[in-house]
Amino acid sequence: MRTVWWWVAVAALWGCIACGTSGTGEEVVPFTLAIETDPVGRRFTTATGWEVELEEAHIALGAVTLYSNAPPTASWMERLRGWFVPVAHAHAGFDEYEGGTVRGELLEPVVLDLLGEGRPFEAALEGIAGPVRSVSLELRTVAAAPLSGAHARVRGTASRDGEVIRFEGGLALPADAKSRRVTGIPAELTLADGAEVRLVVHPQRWFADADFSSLPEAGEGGVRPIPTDSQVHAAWYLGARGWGAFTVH
Amino acid sequence: MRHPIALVLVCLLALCPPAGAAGQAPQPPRLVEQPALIYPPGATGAAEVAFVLVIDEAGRVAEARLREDEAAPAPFVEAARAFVAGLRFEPALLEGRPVAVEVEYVVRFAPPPAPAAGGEEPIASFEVDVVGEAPEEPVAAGDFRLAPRAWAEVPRRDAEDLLTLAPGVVLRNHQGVGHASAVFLRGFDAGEGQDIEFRLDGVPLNEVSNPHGHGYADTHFIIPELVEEVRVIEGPFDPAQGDFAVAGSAHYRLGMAERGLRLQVGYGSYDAQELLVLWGPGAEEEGTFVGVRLRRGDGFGVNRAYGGATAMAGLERRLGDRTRLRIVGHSHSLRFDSAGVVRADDFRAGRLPCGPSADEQFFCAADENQGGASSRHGVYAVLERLTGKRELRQVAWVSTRRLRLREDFTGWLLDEEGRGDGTEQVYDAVTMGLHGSLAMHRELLGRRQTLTVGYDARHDDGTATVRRLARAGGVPYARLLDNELRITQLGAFASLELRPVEWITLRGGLRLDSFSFDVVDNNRPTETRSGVREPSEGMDAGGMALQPRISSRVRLVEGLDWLAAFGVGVRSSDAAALSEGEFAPFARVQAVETGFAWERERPLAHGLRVVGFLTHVDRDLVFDERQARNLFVGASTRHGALLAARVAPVAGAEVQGSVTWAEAHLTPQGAGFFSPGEGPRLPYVPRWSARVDAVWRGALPAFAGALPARAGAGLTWVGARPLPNEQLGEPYATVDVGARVRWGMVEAGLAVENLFDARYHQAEFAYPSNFAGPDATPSRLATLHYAAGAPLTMLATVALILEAEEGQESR
Repeated sequence: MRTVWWWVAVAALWGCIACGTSGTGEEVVPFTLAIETDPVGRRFTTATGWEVELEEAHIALGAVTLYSNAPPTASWMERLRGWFVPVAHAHAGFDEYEGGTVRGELLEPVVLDLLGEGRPFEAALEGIAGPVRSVSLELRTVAAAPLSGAHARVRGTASRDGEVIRFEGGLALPADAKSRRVTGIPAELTLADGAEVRLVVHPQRWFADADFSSLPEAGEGGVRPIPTDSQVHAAWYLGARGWGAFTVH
Repeated sequence: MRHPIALVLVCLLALCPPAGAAGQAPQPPRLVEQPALIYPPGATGAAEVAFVLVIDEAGRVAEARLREDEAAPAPFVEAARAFVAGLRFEPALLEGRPVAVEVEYVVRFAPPPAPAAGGEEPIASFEVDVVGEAPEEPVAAGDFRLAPRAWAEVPRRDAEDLLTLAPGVVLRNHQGVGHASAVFLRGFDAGEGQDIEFRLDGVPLNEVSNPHGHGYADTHFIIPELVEEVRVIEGPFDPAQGDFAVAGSAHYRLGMAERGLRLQVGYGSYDAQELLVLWGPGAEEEGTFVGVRLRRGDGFGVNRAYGGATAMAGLERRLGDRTRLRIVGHSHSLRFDSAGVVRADDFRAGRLPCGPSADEQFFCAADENQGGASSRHGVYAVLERLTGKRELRQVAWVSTRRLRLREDFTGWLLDEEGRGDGTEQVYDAVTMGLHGSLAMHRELLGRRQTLTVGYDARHDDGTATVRRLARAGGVPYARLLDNELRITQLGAFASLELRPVEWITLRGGLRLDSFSFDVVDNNRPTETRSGVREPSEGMDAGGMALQPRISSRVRLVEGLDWLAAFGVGVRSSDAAALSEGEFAPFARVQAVETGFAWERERPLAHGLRVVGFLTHVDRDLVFDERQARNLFVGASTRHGALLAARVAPVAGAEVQGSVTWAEAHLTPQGAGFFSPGEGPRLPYVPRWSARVDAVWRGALPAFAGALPARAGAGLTWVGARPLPNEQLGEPYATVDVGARVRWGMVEAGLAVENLFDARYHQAEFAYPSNFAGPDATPSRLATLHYAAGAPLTMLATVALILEAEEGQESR
């Protein structure tokens, strides 16, 4: 019997030595990443005075990465604070610009119906506990319908001063990787066990500077296309990647 | 029957001192028995035959060699040799303990006077003059003198494996046979030498500003069978310890005590083939030897083949009775492939580019462009002059060194153009230097007091380059580092060893090191905002560091000592991290330890040590996978303890074991030296480790009499290692066994490593990588990577042993 208890003690000691956490900090925690549409994005007025109502809006996103460092757009005080109070990391993550530690990511590409019922997307992920101060993401193109080779596709109506234009088209992207990335989206949250990170898409930013009257004549069904060399497409490209197209909460 | 008058001039030469210093004057051996001396028939006249005798701890004459200038006629020599062989002494004593000594003994043939009453020849006089190297006290509780030959039956393939005889040393190799192993000691991930000073017979081995790691130390050029002793000092407590002695030091000393010729061939698992030739001419000193080792093999999995050769030759000559000169030359070349590390999730999912079985996946390689080539050639000379009051030692050396490593830790993560993240690191250098010490003994207060002064001078002239390699064909496509290096190190130390009373020894010293860097960076941009510029730029920097060290030993009772030590150590700067005119910052370590050492020879020979330690480093290094080298992370603190024990339970058997506990933390800003345990734990450093070695030497019964046989076993256990993000690695344990049997001149042996064929991660890292391909979307979250430990591996050997003739044993 004494022998049995001796082996039990040895096993317990082995277990205590092997169990528990490592104490290296920044533990891995489960969190939820949700992608939502700004409710204003269904019907909005652009800076150029067009009242736009979207009937259809799809978008494809690639890797979404949560970073510990504030974006270059952060205030100088905030960046100075990070400079003077560095935190030593034991290689928990990897920064591509100065994003710092990667706290969480979504790797698989997703195609989102921005005007559908409920949240377009929600996923349970694992990340590294700690502050998240910036987010980057990839804009993807998808060959299959409804995107048919574009990053985003819309159909809707724009009206101004009695002129009503029905439009439909897809947003094409250049081939280089840099043009397909949106970096430094500011965030002010802490990743902890059970946290929810909401990435909000703002379609109203897409056509902020668009002039729909420049679109070519309507084809069958009275719908004007959005050619890739049109002013509307150029404005859409800038708006889809520019400030305010995405926010993080 | 004539009896000689023996006029004896005794000089004490300490050969095998116990762990306890010579504070008192040694007591010479006393003759207690002598045989009859026969005047050679037919001889005439008087003659003197002078010997140098080795009298062992039992008082027997273990060795008798003629003094160099001896020229007596052969009949007298023969008669005198027979006479001295029968002498019996009470052994010499050093602090109450019997010690082996060398004495000069002259046998004088002359018409003898009538023997004194009692039939015993009086010894005319003794003149005691300590000429040998005085036994050295341990400088700290963590000062271990390892005797590799005493544990030779436990399989250890390379000279670096001998370090595991010291408590708390864990080796981890993530890049294959020819790559130096990372050493873990006292909570330090000492890298491949960044925090441990390595020396061979006083010659420094750490490579300054090696692009793989500043301080990289490769001992693969040392034939382990030629290692006489390894002294491991855990902690920076000896003023003689120099650059890189942050976690401690490992000093190798060569020597071939067993004289003769050994011709050994081996064949083993995975087509391993070895040839070992060791020759020590019988009539020569231990420092005279030739060793050649050739080996090759396929390795235990994909991309692990290796092949290379090493040659070492030494020549030792006595210049008089008090001076000896040793010259050692060595040449080494080794080429090896490496499997590197693989992602654990790829292994679990069976995604690695190897066969589908669990073992094929476990031992797979993600990138077969990895490997390396290592060469080293050099010569050094050691001059020692030992008198009763002084010990002078001078070492001079020159060596050339080339190391080329190809590694890939991240796959396709870093290069945006998808060419691949392989790195090639090349280090090419010529190193020369001097090292010396002078210990002066004086007798004060009835005890020996010692003042030691010493110096180091070293110059390295070489280049360090790092390039990125494309996955396709290993073609270099970018240069990350291209430095020309000229680095000079000068150091000096002085220490005082005082024995105010018999049972206390106090040691204190100061060491000063200076470094000067002359670096040319050939990888500067050719254009700046100011316009076109030259791609190269020179940079000079220098620095000095003062390092105090003190220690004490208190003998509580016979066989039980209490030791305490405090020391400051430094690691010089990597030239790649310096800027022009900078006063080169060192990484400074402050260490303190205390412990008890217990040694007894009866009823069983046994020993025990218990040591506690605390260490603070102001600029620590942690491995960075993007650059495949160690980079600064800030200050750190370590604390822990070790328990080491040894026992000889029965005749011919010995067992030693140790358990070590170590905690390593990144020190929060503002926390001081005495803040152990604060801050996040440093990853990768094992918190618990244990090691047991056991050997047995005896004889096996056989039809033709007993066959000498030896066997050994070693157990290594490493506890779960802390990984980043609160993860824990896997603990592992391995058992190694070996045995040899001898029949006449032939010896057969078998060495088995990892007897139970355990599957374990020898090295573990957590970081992001992309081995899926250049077009894959890589995860940038840290994930577990590992380097597989070797499975069950056997090596069978057959050796032809021609021992030195009797009378021609080593002098």
